[in-house]
Amino acid sequence: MRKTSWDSLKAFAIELVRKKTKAEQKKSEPSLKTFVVQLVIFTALVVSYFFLVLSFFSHWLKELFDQNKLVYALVAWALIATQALVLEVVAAALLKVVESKID
Amino acid sequence: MDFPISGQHINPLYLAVLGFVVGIFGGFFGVGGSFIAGPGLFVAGLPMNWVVGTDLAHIVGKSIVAMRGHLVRGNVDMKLGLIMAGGTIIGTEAGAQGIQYLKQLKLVNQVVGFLFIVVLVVISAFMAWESWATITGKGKRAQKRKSKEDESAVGGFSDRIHRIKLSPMIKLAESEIKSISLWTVLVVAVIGGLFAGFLGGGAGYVRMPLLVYVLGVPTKVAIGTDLFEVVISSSYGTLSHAIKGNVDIMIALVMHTGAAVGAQIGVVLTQFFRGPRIRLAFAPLPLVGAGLIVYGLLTGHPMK
Repeated sequence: MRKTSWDSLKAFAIELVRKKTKAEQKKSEPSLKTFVVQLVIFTALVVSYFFLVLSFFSHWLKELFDQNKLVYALVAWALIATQALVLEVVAAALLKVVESKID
Repeated sequence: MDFPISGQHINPLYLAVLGFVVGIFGGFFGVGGSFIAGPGLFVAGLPMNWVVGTDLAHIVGKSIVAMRGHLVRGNVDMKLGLIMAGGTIIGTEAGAQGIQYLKQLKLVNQVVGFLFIVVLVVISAFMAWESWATITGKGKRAQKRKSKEDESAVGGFSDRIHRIKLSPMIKLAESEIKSISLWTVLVVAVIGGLFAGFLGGGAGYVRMPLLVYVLGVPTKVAIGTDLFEVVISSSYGTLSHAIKGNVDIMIALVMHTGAAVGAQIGVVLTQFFRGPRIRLAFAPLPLVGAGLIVYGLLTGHPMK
């Protein structure tokens, strides 16, 4: 049966949070090069995401804060959680691409 | 840079660096890091009510990053974390409400503060002694674990806790605990929550030692599971404070740019240290909590 893009996405998501076996951890952890590449990708993504939020949402967030605290609270939580989750996903995906190029 | 929500002007680089330092602590020790971020934000000129809420918001993001790092390394006991979550929230609310009540009775604040200082200093001294004893040859008595590469000179205490047969008994496979009373786990969670309610933040510097010494959870699993608790308790705190108008999410997002990177580094660093060495490095942290209480008692402005 042909693998759909949904299946690939699902497999990638599971891979992100799946507990790695000892052998997998040993294979991936000691590489300082991989870790540095991961850090650079992650830093670039975090900083660019922040400026995106700063440019697009700053004014809107202030208005939301003044008008509706409950919605602001939910949006604030979603923003910080999304920043953590989405950037992790994107960084992991980019790392896979970079790793395949390095290998 | 101007932050219109709180109406403050703070250097974003300072916030990112502050977040970075707190992130390393979070990833390595499994703590929220309020004892650094709180004073750091306060020094930057943020009023205390904004400090508490904004700090909690940045902790949510940073702890998610650090928790995922520990999750893939098998260092998070989800079952234990979920069971503890209820107790943590109950304890946090009880601590916050209890302190509000006790504050109405003058001098009680000093008495409670003094008791907490004693408890935190004892935890710190005990951890320093125990981890040092384990590292330096008293390992004959040490309890070695097979798969988590951990050992402790006082592992016998948690074994006695495991023998308390108060049903329902549960098994925690990830923590290598064959049988433990559900009530013991809940009591530990509530105690951790009480400290969080009293001191603010996640109070990981109390919960992590409790997980290791009382429940007998391996150090690295205690760090990962504590982060799981921190995500839940700080999310709850963020929503609660944001509704009260105490969260400047823009400041939290700037801090998170540094914290997310720091957390990644902190998680990877745990790979290079065994449990006793991590605990030895952790030992001074409860003293910071004690210092915050002393500061609060002397100035009348508690860091919470």
